[in-house]
Amino acid sequence: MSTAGFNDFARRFAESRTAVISLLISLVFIACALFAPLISPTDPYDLTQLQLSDALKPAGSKRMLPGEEIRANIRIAGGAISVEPAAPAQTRENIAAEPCGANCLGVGVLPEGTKLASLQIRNLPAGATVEGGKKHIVQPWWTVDNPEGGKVRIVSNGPLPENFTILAIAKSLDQETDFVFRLGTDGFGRDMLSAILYGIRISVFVGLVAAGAAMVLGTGLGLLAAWRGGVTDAVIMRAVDFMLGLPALLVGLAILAILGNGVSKVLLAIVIVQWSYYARTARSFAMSELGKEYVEAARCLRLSPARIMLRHVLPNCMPQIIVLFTLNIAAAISLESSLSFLGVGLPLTRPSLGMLIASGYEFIFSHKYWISIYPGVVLLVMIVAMNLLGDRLRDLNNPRLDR
Amino acid sequence: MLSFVLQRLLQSVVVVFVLSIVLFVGVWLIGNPADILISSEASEADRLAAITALGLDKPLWQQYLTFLGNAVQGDWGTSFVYKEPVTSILLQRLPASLELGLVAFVIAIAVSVPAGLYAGLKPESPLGRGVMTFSLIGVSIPTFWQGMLLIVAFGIALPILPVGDRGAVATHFGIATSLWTLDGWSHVIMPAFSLALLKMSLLMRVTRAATMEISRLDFVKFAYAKGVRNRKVVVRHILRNALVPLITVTGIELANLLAYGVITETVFSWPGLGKLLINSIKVLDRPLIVAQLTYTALLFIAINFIVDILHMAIDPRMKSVLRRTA
Amino acid sequence: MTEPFFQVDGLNTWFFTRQGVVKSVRDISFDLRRGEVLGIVGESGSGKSVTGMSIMGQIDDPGRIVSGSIALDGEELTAFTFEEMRRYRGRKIAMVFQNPLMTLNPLMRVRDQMYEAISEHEDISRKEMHDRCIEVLKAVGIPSPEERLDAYPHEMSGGMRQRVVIATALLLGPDMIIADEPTTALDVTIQAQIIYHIRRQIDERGLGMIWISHDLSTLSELADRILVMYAGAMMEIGTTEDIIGSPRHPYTRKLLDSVPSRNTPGERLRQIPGNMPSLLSLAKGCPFASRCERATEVCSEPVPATELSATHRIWCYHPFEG
Repeated sequence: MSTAGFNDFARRFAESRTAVISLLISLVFIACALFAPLISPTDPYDLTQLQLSDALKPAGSKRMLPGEEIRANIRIAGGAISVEPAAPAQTRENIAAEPCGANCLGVGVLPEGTKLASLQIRNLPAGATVEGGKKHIVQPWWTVDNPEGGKVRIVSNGPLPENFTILAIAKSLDQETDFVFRLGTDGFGRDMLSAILYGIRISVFVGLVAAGAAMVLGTGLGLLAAWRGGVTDAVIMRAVDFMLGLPALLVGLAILAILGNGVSKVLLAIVIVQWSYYARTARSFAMSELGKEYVEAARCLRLSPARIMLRHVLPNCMPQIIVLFTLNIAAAISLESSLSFLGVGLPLTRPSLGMLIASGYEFIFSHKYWISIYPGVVLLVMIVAMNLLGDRLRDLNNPRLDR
Repeated sequence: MLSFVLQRLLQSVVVVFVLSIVLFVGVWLIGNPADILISSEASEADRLAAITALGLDKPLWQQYLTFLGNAVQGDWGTSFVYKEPVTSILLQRLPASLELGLVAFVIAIAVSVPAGLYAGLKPESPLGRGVMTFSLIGVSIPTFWQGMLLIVAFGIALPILPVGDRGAVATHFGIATSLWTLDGWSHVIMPAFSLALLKMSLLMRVTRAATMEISRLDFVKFAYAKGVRNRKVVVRHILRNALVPLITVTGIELANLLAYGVITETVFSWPGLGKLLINSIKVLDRPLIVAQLTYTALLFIAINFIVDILHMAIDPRMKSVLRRTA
Repeated sequence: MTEPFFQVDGLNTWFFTRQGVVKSVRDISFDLRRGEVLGIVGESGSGKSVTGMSIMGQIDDPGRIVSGSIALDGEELTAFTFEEMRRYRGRKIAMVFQNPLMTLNPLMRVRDQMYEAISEHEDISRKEMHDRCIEVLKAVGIPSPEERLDAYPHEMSGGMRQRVVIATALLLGPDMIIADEPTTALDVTIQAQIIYHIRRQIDERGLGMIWISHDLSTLSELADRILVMYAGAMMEIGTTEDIIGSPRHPYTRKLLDSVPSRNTPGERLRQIPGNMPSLLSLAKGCPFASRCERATEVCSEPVPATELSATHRIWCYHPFEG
């Protein structure tokens, strides 16, 4: 298209505000897709970054560093108290023990007053209990949650034995980091924002590639059918009619049922579903063009069919094909998300938006909506924007709409 | 007219035949049918017995005939997972899917035709624009997500409707369906609406477009020029003529309802064929998969056939064309 | 001459679109007598069809009649409510459209469409409706009218269909018929037949007829008076002898010249160069000035009417000599 033609087209396109907004939104999504690794706060596929303790947190919550654990063996031998760090590795040895009166031993963490999540004492001598502690159901372990002042008191009715060794395990509180999960986390502790950004990336990728491949394949077949005519035409058109009659989802399901999961198979399924639209359009355009005289002239000059098709027929179909393409991207994204939701699409490790929504399904019953809702909203906006765009392009192409 | 019906019927039968061959060859291509149709857990003796029963030890064309023979008699093999004949499993789940599909279909038509008609007659009015916006969202929103939204809205946030599963079944006039009971309705209404949403939006748009196009035609102007009242013009001329393309689209969409039933049944745990299909794909219960896909294809062909007949019955222009070519 | 029973005075019909105001009909005035055929001629976009639809009250959003009067037997039609106008349509004023295949609903039998015209206005038995339909069908020269009633529109030829449409228009005995290019889609022989039958009905029933066309040669045969329109405005109006015999307006002359039968064989067909101006942005003066060889500065001023004779009026600063 010439520059003047394009300018005119752009001007007419811009007459509709909604169309311009949809275009901008689509560009934003494409940018998200391209730059996801750069703008995403975390890498949602990096399993080492995930902590189950972060799972299922609502939007705006902060990531927590899980508390550290310190273990120490406290040996009482004839009035002397010695504290030894116990395995596994710990970074501090600040557990101390002090008698707190007859038949009483205080165990605490230094510095005094440190807030602890819990302090657990194991191997208590017989008859002794921990004040305010809960005994483990099976093992002789006593745990005090949130011990005041960071210490507990071991008391006994009778005197405490001369020699005994107890194991003290202190857990510090989870610390808030500054990292905020802007949209919450999913069942694995993944940051939803990052997961969504990467999900957009996958959805856009699948949509563009699949719709693009279908476009090339379908247009090619349509042109071929028009050029060759006869049997080739009949066969291709029967196939097109057949494909058009079948619902996309069933075809996709059938193909994936047979071939299994995977990105390439999903792409293949979508291409198989969509090629027929392009084929039909390309063929009807080509048929009308081929009737014209310049094609006869070109044939007389023995120009190769490919050249005639590509240089003359194809440019005429392009506007319609582009409209189809835009609408089909939306359809491809929608189809892929449906297939992923059903569990037959993309693999779990690299979730697309559909997969994210699926993984959140079980949690909506416990009021943790966000895992399913946010990706869904994103998906909806993406598809609406593309549909609006395609609608606008189609209206522009249709001269009948002006009075 | 009769010859047309017969012609169409014959064509459909031919397609079914071709389909059965394609299916049979397809099953063969994927792998040994013995593996596909007989569970790998079966003992060697059972396996041999099954092979003989299914005729898999015979030459290919004989296998096909046996396959066809069995199929026509209703024997599609035994499910790996349920250990029951496939046909009985299908028949068990069929009523549920039919219920869902039927209610969804009725909802879709009841809403979309009047709405589309109105939007076509008064496209610039607020309600008219509203219809377009609604249908745009309805068409774009992924079915499963919208189902979830409904569950959250009406099942959890405002718990007025039960979620999941079918309601109580009652039998009247020899038909056992959950639609006879109020409980059944309370269970079916959400999934049916969810299923209907996509189709509703599509049909709204089609109706609107058809209405707009027909309103501009001369015979509508002529009807007004004759002094026919507004309502009559809309119903007798606009609506009646809009029905022609509408029936074609509706037929296709009805067939489509089956496909999207799969998603809705999964989201709402509706015990129909769709859920069965997904489950059987996940566990690779191949006889069930094969049977279901075949059943769906048959249904499609049947619906297309009916749509063709209806189309012909409604449009007198087609009758004349056929009379001349007959 | 008898008094006119129908008058249009200063009619303005404008369309208020998003791109601007399209002034399709500007200050149109004419009248009609019983038994008379008035032809309205002009190119596409001249406003002739909009004039017809304005009279019928069938101008829809975004258009409306902005000003002017339309009077039938003294009744002011522009002041009618929707229901009042509906009662006039078909009964007092009938309209016939161009393409007969699309004027009739393809899904309905002819009989139902004709009955509908009657039943919306009168409450009579089916037998009476049937008889009346047969009567009008015969009047327009349709053979075996019984069979035609049962038929569907696509089962008849174009000429037959148009006759059915005209017959439908006659069903309620209207005072006036507006025909918008009724024979344009038909071939010449059929055209001649239809014109013959219409003329007979007009004479017999004393109807007034407005015949809209772009084809002057048809009008020259049928019309008693002719109105020439261009870009929504009146150019020239007079009896057929005035217009065809001694056209004074440059546009009328060009129209006549461009009729192929007026050419000598081998001569180049005459065209009017240029295009009709956009109705969105009209200048003040004569709309034809941009394509007229005789145009001068003064033509960009609004053009007043000039009475050339009792019957002949023109809107031009530089008319031809008689």
